[in-house]
Amino acid sequence: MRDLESVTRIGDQISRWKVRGPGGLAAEWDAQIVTNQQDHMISWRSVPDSPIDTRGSVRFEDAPGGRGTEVHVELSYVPPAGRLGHAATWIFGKSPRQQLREGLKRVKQILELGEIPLSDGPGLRPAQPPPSADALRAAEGVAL
Amino acid sequence: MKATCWMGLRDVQVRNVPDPIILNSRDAIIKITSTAICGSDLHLYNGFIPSMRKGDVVGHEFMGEVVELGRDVRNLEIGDRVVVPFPIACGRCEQCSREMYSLCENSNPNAWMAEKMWGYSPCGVFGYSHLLGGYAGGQSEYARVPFARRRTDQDSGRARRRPGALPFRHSSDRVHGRGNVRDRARRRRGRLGLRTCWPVSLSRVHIFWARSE
Repeated sequence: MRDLESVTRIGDQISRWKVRGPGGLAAEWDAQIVTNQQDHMISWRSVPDSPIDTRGSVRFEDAPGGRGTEVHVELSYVPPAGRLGHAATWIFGKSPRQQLREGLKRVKQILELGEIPLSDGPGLRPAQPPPSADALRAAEGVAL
Repeated sequence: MKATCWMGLRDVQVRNVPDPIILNSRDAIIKITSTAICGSDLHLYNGFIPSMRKGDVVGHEFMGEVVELGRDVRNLEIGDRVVVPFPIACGRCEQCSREMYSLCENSNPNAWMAEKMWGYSPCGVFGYSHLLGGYAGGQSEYARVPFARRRTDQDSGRARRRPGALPFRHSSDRVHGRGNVRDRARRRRGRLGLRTCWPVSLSRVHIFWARSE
């Protein structure tokens, strides 16, 4: 998640998630681990009465033919009404599926390469060398 | 620097753009000594490739001299003369480990676009649309080359380095869809037929010579 500010462990099975974005949009919620099968799956859900009702799981499986590991993520959320609802929609994106796929791609890049490869023209920027590396990294939310 | 930019349908101009800079730790900056116009550039020119943006620097076949290196480039030095293949390949993913460099799973930051269109994303390619990564191309004075590395013995899995072999294997001498350069050269031992004379064909000639020594 690009706009994730922090995840803090606040209990044995509970962590606090903070996200922040443009326009002062911010939200935080506590998530509780529901199942934790070592090397296979972790699932979680937001604690009761959270501002954002969300649940999800990550599952690790051996890819067939000795081709490494498959990572499966399932994520769902129920946006609340009002300002927080806007925040939730913005956090998970207009297209959560794509957001998730891009996030997983980045995880793969970090695991396999140790960094996220940057294009000269991400998004709608023309494919020209950027005037400054820092500006491009900031826009893409990555560090060298 | 000056660079060839795609400005719209059948509108290509040489323009001033910023000099390339190191963006990733395995980048190299190349001062270009020779570059080519490919038949595939006509597809861009004639508007057959979607996701071009006004101002995109084109050119995917180039060679030159290393002038700057990222901090994690191990086996290249400033001043090395290099040939840059157009598939950008990380060298570490499943496809790269099988030498299927043009299917590299990590080098196309816009893979989701290509996946939507084709179901599977190929590698990133220099100067060839945002669908293939939005990388600036090499019809320019300088270019940034991600994942720069010299072709080494370990790289090919075979312990030899011969004169005539491509000196710079940051990605590949295997080019899918255009034929497997090395394997074809091997299969036709003693004879080599070429239909075209573009840089990949010339690479094939060099590999052929190297193999027949």
